[in-house]
Amino acid sequence: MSRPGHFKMVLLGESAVGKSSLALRFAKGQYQDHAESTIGAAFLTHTLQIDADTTLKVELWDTAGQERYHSLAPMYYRGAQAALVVYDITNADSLSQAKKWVKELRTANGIDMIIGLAGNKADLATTVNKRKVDAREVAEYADDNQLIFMETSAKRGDNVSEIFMNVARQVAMKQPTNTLNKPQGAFPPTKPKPKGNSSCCSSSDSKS
Amino acid sequence: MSSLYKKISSAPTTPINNQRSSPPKHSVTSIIRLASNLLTHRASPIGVPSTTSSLLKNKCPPLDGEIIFSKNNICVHPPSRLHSYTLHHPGYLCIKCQHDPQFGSTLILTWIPNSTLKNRSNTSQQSSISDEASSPSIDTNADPPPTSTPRHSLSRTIDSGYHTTNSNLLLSPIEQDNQSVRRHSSDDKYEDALDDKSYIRQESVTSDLTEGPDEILGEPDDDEAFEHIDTHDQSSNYVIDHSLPFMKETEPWKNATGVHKPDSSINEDDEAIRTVSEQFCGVFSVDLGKMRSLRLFYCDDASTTASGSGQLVIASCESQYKVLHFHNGGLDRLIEILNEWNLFAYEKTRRGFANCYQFNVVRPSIDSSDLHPEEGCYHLITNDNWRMCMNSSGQIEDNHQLRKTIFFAGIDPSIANEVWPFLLHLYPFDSTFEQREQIRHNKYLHYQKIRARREAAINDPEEAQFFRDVEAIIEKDVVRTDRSHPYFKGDDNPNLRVMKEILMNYAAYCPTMGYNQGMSDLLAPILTVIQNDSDTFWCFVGLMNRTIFISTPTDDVMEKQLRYLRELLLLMLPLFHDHCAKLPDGLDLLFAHRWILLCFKREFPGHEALRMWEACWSHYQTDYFHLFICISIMAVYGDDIVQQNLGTDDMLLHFNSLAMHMSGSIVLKKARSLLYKFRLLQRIPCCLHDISVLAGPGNWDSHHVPQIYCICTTDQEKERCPFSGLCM
Repeated sequence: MSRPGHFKMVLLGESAVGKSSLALRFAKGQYQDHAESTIGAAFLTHTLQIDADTTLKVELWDTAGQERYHSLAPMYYRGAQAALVVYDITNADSLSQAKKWVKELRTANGIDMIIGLAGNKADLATTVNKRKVDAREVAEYADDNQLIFMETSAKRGDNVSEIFMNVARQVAMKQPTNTLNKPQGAFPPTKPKPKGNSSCCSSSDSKS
Repeated sequence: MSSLYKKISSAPTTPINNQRSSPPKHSVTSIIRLASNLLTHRASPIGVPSTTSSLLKNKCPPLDGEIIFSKNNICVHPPSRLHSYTLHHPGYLCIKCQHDPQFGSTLILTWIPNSTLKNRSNTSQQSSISDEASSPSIDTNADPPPTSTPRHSLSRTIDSGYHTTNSNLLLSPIEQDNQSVRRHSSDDKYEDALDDKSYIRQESVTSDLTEGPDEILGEPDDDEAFEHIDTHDQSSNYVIDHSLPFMKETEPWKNATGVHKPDSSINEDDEAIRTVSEQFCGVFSVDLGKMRSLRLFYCDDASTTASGSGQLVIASCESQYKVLHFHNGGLDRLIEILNEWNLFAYEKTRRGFANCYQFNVVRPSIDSSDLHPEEGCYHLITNDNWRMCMNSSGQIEDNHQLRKTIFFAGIDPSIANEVWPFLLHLYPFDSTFEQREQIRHNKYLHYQKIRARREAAINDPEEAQFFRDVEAIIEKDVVRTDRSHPYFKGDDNPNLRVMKEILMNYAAYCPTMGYNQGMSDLLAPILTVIQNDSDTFWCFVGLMNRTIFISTPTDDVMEKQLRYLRELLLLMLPLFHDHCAKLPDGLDLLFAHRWILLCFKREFPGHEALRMWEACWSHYQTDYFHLFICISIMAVYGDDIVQQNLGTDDMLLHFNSLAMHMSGSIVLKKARSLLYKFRLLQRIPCCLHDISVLAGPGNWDSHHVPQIYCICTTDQEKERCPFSGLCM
């Protein structure tokens, strides 16, 4: 058995935008109505198969959303290689809060941090007049700030694994060998070499 | 029509219960048992003592497909922490040996919910199956009589004795065993099940390894019980091959070798209609050889549980946890089994098979020498002794004694609504009946004013905005606070509106505090106890004013709590402190944030958490009793962390996974003992000086005055510290 590489990812965003629900959907495939508010920090892990020979364990830190606990937040995002900032598409304020988080993360952890932006509760978009945030505008903002943006629905499961997977892929690409351990000692890859995005594949493989 | 099992007694140290597993036996069985008992019953945690490895020479590892442990009525509890009561999902647990190409052999642990067994059992008799992933198929029909059965042949009898649950069958294993009813016709059984009035039906599942006559010396009861099984016409019993084919339709049994997430296998259609707890309580099957750790937590609360009861906590290498509850004992036996297994695993490790499997035993217990000397001297405040606390005009004359009693023994829930208003400062202890009526009346009027003022605020744009913001957060939180509690259950429950109203009024009453997340969690139990909006409001105000759980807008208070906690930890539990200190960010004590913010509400089941609240509210000798409870949790449940050298993340996971599974009574006892020890200290650091300001001297003339030494390091701190210059 090989130990997968791993990275720390923190979930941030205003309260009740669905951070814990995204985490629960991602890690366990479940959804719960009226899930209790997160107090303090919660921690979940989930292993992703990035490609044929890369697995990554995501160590997901779920945090309390309310601004009151803001000063505890640095304790949670310290050392995180990635973040998923979440807002609620039916709540415009939650987007401005999300933007504040992005700013804070960029200040604290720098440009290297991979940040995903999830517009959650996309399932409510179909209900008339529920949507308060225009996806195209957010997409532009995301482009300007190097964010991986998707609208998600933790309730229906839409785009949940996709956004986590995209963030994980970028983490894998960005930090090829040092912090992320590739599986060791298993089988040599059957394919000669992964294609294209192979900055994550160390050359040592080919020596075998 | 029915016959009773004889009472089964196995090893003398194993409590009698409905566990009927037998280890592989040899002529040296008794020696090994003795050795295992030595191993298991005194040492904690259990390693692999070298003295026992010689035993291996005389003992073969279990054979492929051999069931080495099985027990029914092992519970899984749904994950929701909202429950003030526990939902039990009993099931059948078995551990069997299986050949593993990588490690030689391994153990497969499987838990099957009784509901599945029950539903399926009607159609599953007499099947013999091949289980592609694991053992070779064993045709039970072909089994020769037990006396000549080779030891790897299994004859399993799932005996569905449906019992009517009188009160709580989960807690009456012995009875159940004695009454275990064997029926001859499965149709009978099914009808009977349908007639059963109680909705919880227990199936007592027994399983035995067949044994040769020379191997059962010393256990005549087992022998008889076993023969008894086989004197029955097998066709009328559920004789089921171990691979339990009827499970295949719902769960991919084939996956037994890997980590098997209970939800992952449910097909898409089913998933939509299953609730989270149903998903959670599906079949669970894992390869123990591939787990990161197994921990056995004893809850030795002898008064309420069978001995050997507790939890088995399984952690995967991905740090996923599964908790299985042994309410009817059985942990002792499991430890024996695992110990034997550890010996083999150890041998394998020596031969170069690395494997992450390890297990240890946590017996949260306190030596009697470690208890507070006054532990056990006080009794629960009941209606009778509550009345006796008051004089004829209703004054409580000795509030110190009352608070002390509450601190040690707590309050009977039936009178909590009368006592809490005193603890929460709505009424002074020395008020008379008439005064209290007056206070209540005045407070009611005051409350109405606050409400009216808030409602009028709509005219002021600034204030209106404030209340809109507050309302938005409160609305989000109220609908997700304690929703499984009967008092808040159901859509459009009017009590949710009351909760929201009180929180809104509190924000109006104390706008600097406004609304903090977590307040709804603190308010909900008060509302369920007091049940009147004005009284609840004022009790809540009292809680917010005098207690220290909640953060101010600047989080200073939380920082202060953590500072105290670190210092207390250093004083009371230096090893744990050292462990945290050497980790990056370890002293942030992230795992304790929720403990402090919600005063353990999400760490312990409702009644136990409230007992802790009451102990804290009694302000007996300290205002920071909750910090002693924090230390106590680390003392009782944290050895593992230090021994396994767990990192920051894993510490959080460790304690999160234990939430709702810890023994509140043991933690409280330990906390009281820690407070006692703290009070005996001759010298304390300057930052802990304020730890008992509000509690006052009690009925003594003077405060507790230990010598104080200054630990301030920076000049700024030293300047502010009244004790600077007093060195260690």
